Amino acid sequence: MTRTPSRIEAGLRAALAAVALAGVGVATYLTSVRLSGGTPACAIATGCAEVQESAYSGVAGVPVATLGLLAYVALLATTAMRGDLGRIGGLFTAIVGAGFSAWLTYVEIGIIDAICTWCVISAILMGVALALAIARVATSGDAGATSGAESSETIPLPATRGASAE
Amino acid sequence: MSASTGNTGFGGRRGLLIGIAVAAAVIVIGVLVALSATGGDGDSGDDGPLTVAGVVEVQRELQGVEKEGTFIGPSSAPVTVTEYGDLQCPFCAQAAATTVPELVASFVAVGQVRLQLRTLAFIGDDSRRGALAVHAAARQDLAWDLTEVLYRNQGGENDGWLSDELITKAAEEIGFDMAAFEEDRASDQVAADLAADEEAARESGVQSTPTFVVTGPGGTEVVTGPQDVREVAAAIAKVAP
Repeated sequence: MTRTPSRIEAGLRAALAAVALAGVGVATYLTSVRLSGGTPACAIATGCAEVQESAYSGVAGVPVATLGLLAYVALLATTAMRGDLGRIGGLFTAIVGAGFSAWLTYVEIGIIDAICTWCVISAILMGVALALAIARVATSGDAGATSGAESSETIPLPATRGASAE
Repeated sequence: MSASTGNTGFGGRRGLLIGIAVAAAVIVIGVLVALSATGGDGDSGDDGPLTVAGVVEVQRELQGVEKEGTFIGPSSAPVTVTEYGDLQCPFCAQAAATTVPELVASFVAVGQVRLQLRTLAFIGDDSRRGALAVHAAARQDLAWDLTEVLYRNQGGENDGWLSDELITKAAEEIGFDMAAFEEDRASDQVAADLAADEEAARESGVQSTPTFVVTGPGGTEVVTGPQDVREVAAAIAKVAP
């Protein structure tokens, strides 16, 4: 019965931070490849080069890899935040990241017909991040005392007043 | 003193905040997907009357140069430079605008180099349509003319720019025998020519386009994705007699 919600919360935050850090690594690599221009050629073999050179590798002029990097950094930032701001902010970021990753995975398989291993790894990381973010929000719902304490809404019970009038 | 006070579980104010976050996330995903689906960086052309750019420029560039099939330059040239390209490859279009004209002016026109075109089709179905057209054009010794003009009209990958309409209009403006061209485009021989180029690319270990294979008495040099004609020039110098 001695569930320690703060420990669960801490564990989820640590796991989410680890996933976000791994994502930062992957997205940094992909961004640097994209921004350095990579090989000034169109790769015949299917793979990352083909995906990175495709018309879908940017959104409004911003490389998708850079958007991914921003998402992972935002996710990492939310793990440093206690309380609902961090939890709900993390959930928002993870939903956006995982949703857009799902679209990009569809684009790779269904449109470009090329799979970039790094992009798949990033999509998996986003999926895991989403699961952890959902768990973080859901478990904090059971942890009323913990989350309440953080938002300073725990009110001392007045029950002892009558007893002490003895 | 109800159990759900608004800051725990999914009810009350907290539930509302979570709902807003989820809804906002879905909207953001929708916007990102919409922007991405329109081609990302994309400028897909509008539907105005089709114009073909670069015909005069290309004809001036290739004026006076000996043409035979997929070759330009004299057969007696000591060095052959084979360019592997895909009409939809943006880096090939870049090379067509910079490297190729300089190669023609500095090496082909003086009889030092013979340029060969090997057109591949790995980016998509449109690439195949274009490659077949180039191989059909080779039967009228106009493969380089058509290729260079099409590169100057390049759009996004597989977004429909390399259409039958563009190919036909470009061929008309260049001065093709259109009846023969249309017949050749659909012929088995032209399909076999394309297959032969793809086989040559495999045999040469070509992994990307543009790749320039420079062959001469001094051996063979491979230059991938040259951004500067000097890279190809250096390879020519190495294999030249």
